Amino acid sequence: MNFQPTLLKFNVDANFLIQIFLLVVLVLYIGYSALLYKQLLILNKNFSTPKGPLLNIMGLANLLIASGLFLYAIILRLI
Amino acid sequence: MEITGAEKVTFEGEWDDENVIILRRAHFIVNLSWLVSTVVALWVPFLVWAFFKFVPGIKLSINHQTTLLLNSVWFLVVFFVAFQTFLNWYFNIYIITNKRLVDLDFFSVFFHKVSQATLDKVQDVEFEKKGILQNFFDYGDVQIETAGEISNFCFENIPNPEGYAKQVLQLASKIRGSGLGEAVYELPTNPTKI
Repeated sequence: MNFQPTLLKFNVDANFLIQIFLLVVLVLYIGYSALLYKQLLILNKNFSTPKGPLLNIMGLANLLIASGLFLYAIILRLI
Repeated sequence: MEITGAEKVTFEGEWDDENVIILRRAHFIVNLSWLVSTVVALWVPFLVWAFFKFVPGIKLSINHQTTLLLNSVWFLVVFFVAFQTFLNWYFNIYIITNKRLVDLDFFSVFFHKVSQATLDKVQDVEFEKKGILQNFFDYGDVQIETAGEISNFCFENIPNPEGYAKQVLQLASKIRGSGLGEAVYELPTNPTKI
């Protein structure tokens, strides 16, 4: 038998690869942000200071911005 | 950092007749490393952009929307790491009330711990300041040895460790002297700091 090496040629768009990668990163990020927000609520309940509500808002804003970016990434892929 | 009297602070499990006398976190200077790292990380997209813009022969073929998304995710991740590290500092708290010591530890999103011991269990208190930074900025570790099976407390990187060790010993000896299990401690008239 004669084995010959084959060279496969791919023409993959860099935009596509990066957007898919960022989608995966954002899914993980949203999960982790949700956990952080939940943890913040627990910590602020355990130990309440005047800065507690501000920290809660920052945690929630982080989660919402991540969700917004995720939607933007999906829209980019659909268009 | 210490907050005494000025800030209304309550914690879960606080007894009705319990007052927070001293609250401390690690010295703010311990945040310097992550603050510097964050500032450097914020510049990375600009450096990458400058690299591809000004180095001849290298061309990055990604469109404007992908660049925007990539940069946004980068800034979000940098913010997240900074926020997480800040929370790690903010929620690592050492509290002394008129009845007990409470050590709140926040290690990560998945793990936080609360240790406590009544002040009459305090046996020995020692502090150490090691290295240039700790001596220059006057912060260090305070080790509190407790009686019985309660694990010892180590309050790390707190400002003015010798003053703190002295205060803990004074409160513990007051409790043992009174036999009431409660320290009587006068809050300062200027409530910002003890």
